Amino acid sequence: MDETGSRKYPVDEHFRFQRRTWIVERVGWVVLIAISLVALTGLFGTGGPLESGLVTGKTLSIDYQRFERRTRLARFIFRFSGGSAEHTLHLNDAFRNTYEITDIQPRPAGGAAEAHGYDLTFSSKASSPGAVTVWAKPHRMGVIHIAASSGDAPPLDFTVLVYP
Amino acid sequence: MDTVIKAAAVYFVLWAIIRISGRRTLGEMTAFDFILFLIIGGSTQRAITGQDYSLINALVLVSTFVSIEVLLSLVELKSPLMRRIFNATPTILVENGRMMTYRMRRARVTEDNVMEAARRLHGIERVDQIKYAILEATGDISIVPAAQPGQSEPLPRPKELPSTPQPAAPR
Repeated sequence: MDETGSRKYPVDEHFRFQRRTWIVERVGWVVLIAISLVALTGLFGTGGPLESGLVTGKTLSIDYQRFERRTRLARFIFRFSGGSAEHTLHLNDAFRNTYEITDIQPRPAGGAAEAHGYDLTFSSKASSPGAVTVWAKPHRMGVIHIAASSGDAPPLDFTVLVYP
Repeated sequence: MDTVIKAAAVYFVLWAIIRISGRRTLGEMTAFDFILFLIIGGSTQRAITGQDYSLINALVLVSTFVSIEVLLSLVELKSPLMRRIFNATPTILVENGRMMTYRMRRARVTEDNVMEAARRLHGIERVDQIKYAILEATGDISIVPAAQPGQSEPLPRPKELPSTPQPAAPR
């Protein structure tokens, strides 16, 4: 007896539709498993080898998270090089418009939020051994192009994806 | 606005995931599955409400969920296809005492599942005592027992019923 034909009794079957549903189900299982596996790589943020990024310039290097989540704290580590008594850090307007800074360690000696971004100053004694950690919460999602610079050196550009 | 969009997104994502998991997952819900569903509910709740625990947010959220439910039920009423998409369709697994193995394999139903339902619902011991076993849209298995010797046959199919003259409506 043919199993693949639709029966009308005792229930009105739609076996063609049912077979398609089973195919969609199986594709869905693959997608769900793929989401979990991809999450392990760090593509969705919160840990994993793909999550952390590093850009290095003459006077500054930045350790950042490539993939962030909206309203979840993101961490940026700025490392200054050079023996000057004072380090300055400029973060562009994209950073200012996206993030709400919740903490900076060590505390800056001075700072200002301008229309073009943040200007922060750290004494080299305070920022010893030359690293500053900024904790910030993104409040909008999408691809954010951030630029950061220290002193007169050209800015370092990096891109962050903020998930909803 | 944000709450409505989030609620609608979560509704359809959850619907898709539950639909993908298949009917057997719902029909065979164990104590652990129940805990799992509570965890799913808790994690999505935090994603929707965020830090906003206000009364108006809860009101908007509940209104959105109920509105989607009502709208979908109206769509299902109009369209049989949408009804099948949203609610699945029943599938016959045993026909006249014969297990339909291809269908059972696809639907992730074992012979034991069918016999368990047969025993529980009708005290049936053998598969040849089953006329039909049907996997319902809810994930439950319904059993129509075969007629036993000495018992009358089950009611004939509707189209086989002899046509009887209808009494005239009283005036």
